[in-house]
Amino acid sequence: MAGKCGSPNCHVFDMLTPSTPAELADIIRSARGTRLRLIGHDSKRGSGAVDIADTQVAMTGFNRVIAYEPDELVLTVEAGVSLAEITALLAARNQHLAFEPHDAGATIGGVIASNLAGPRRIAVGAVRDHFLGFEAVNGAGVVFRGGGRVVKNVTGFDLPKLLAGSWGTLAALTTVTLKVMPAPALQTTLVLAGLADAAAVALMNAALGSTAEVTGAAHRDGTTWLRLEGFAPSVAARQTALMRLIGALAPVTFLDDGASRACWQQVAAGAVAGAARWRLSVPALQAASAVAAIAAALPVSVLYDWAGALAWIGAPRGAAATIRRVAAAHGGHAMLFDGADTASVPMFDPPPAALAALNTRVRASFDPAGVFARRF
Amino acid sequence: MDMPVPDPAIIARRAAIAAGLRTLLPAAAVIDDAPSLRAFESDALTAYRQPPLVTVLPGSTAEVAAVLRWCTEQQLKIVPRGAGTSLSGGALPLADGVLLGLSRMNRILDIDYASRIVVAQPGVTNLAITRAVEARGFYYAPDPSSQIACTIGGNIAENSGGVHCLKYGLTTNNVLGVELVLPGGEVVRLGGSALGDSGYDLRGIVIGSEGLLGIVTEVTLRILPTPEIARALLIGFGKLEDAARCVADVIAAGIIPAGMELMDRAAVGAAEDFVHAGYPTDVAGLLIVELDGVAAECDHLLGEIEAIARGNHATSVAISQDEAERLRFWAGRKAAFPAVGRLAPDYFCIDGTIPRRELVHVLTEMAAMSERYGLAVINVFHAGDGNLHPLILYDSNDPAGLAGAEAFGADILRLCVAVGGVLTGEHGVGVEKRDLMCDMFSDADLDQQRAVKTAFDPAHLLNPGKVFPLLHRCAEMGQVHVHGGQVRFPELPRF
Repeated sequence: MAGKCGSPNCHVFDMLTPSTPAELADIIRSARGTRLRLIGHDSKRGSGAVDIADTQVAMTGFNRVIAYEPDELVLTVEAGVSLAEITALLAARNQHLAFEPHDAGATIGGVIASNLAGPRRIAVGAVRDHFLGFEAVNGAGVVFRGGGRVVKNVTGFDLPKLLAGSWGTLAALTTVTLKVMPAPALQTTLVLAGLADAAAVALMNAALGSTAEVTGAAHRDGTTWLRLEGFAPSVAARQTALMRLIGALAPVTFLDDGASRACWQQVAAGAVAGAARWRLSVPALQAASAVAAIAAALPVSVLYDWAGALAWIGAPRGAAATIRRVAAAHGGHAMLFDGADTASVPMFDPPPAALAALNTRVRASFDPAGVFARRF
Repeated sequence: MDMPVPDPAIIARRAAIAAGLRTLLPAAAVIDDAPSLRAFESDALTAYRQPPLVTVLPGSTAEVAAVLRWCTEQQLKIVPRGAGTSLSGGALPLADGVLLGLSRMNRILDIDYASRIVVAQPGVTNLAITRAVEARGFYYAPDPSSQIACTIGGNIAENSGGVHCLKYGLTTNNVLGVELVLPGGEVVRLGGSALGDSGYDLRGIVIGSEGLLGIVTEVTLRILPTPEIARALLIGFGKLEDAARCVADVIAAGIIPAGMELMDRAAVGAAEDFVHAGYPTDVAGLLIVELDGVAAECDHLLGEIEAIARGNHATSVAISQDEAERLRFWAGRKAAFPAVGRLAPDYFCIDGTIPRRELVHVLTEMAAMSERYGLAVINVFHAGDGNLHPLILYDSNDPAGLAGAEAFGADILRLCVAVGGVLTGEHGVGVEKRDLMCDMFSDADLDQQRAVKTAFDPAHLLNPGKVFPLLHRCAEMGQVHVHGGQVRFPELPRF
């Protein structure tokens, strides 16, 4: 099961490469004393407290597509299948993962474990809202399943919700079932020029509160983007309504289907300049004032997504105290996504004591001996 | 239905326990007299009845926390209850347990239209959320059929759905955050109006946990702009195969309707006899497809769907021309349960989900079972998401009929699991499907769920006897019992 390492990060240590749940369970059961870091393509190795002394377990041996049933809107694949392969598979049937993954280079297991949804999250929910069921191996080396393979299911606890966004700290996903959706027939983006942050956030939220069914609302440095998707007659009608809402607030230009797709890939990637990249999450209408408070103390580069509910912030080293204080004061929190400080600053805000204790108990319920690398 | 064996020593202490609880709550919020306790003896699964040891009705998070802390110190079991409309026995009391009702916590705390967020206490009814915001052009999307009575706290416990959940999701997809009181009295806030992650999604595991993990005392909900218009098609088919293929073709065309409901011949006949909705009765299956959104979208898709229906040999296609006609299309479907209730003294309502491609196979198998058990079955089906609601007709005055109906229902649910589906799409496990859990999950699967339960509730005081089989035992037990029309909440629509 030991194999050659394909990641630039593992030049020192051998990497384990299981390809069946039984092999993975063996690795986990015999991992006493070492910690296991589960990796797909390791595309998010810059996120969280990654300890290079941890033993790496490559999940890319879990590489089979189990079932794709377009009419049922479900896809079952092993967790190491690449997102690129899934995207192509779905595109051939005019379907997609509606949550718009952040990171095109990831495996599907990594997409789920990080729960990083892109711009369409405001319309269709997060990764976890599309994660229906799984098979996994927990920290005791026990293979177990959760959820189901149908879109409507309330049988037992909704373990998929908990596994999504757990960053490999609870269990190693081996097979996953996702809800897939029809891909919109076309998209167009309205580009507004010249709005200040606060005005842009207000307008983006007004658009989301209208019947225009906006599926992307982002803003950077005086440019605001609003996306409409769907069938042509519907998009045309909603564009007219949205133009009425915008009125004389800002001049508007349009991106056609191809340019619109490229634009939102850029937004999903969250590119901002700075030593450390943060995801500031406050109630959307608080976003501009929170960003202004941070910008008053630090040089930052900012990309607003989710109508302001997410702000990607490029910040200098050592910005954690400022950003987290401002986030809390505005009723939200901040995730240190990648870049500088990840070794010393936790990925997420430290929770209150009762919640921290509960998190610890939940983690222990999956991984009693702490076999999986902590990450956060 | 076996429940955990009550502890006679606790029952003997009833008066002292009530007195203790009265030191924490207003006197009127603690109920321990037998006649009053009868009001809480069951939820909408009336086959099972058990008056609680005592009922408490706390009015605030602080009171809930005080009760839980005290009950944990006393090692008393707690059963949470919203409006008591559960179809799976989720709020069935225990003889030695405290029933904790949330009905006094019934205020909407905040409405923020600019952010499209409502903050409410758990005892607010589902429909009251929409009623509070509809004048400003908003609504709360999940719409369980009992929405006039069921509470938002109960919706969270059950992860309630509704006929529109294919497009708009279940409760979990529409709840941003909760305040939760743990058995020890600690108060934690999970999720919230900030959308990004801040650690484990404990909000997500609490939703649908059937009252086993904590007591939700505040809810932050997402509201949506009310669609400009809704239109419906009423489509008749000579063969169920054609109806099933039509549903698949609609999805394959990239269309996610707001709702897709299929009724079989017997359901159409019963509904038409009852409410005279003008349904065609010479059909093997009748499909209702609802679209919502901007008018231009609905107009466009109505044409697309009509063409798909005709391509699948529809025998009739009607398109609603106004709101009255749309409601008439729905009237028969929404009256299907009471219509069936007129055909036999009792019925069971089953709630499994299957992959849609298995529909014809499952209905054929079900017809064979019906023959074998000598009991009629009528089918209504949330066709878009594969959620079946077979109604088994029986007569509880005939003991063999009751036992047969229970066995028939369990066989249907096992078939749902065998074809790749699940035991419950929206009604919850509760006590009703508890003993079928081993048909869907292995011991390892259930042990992991139990471990999560223990992380929240180390002493297993919250809602014991629900969801997980007692002693890992998997037996055949009953479903929704409706006897002689004596269903609880007979005024509530059920569909």
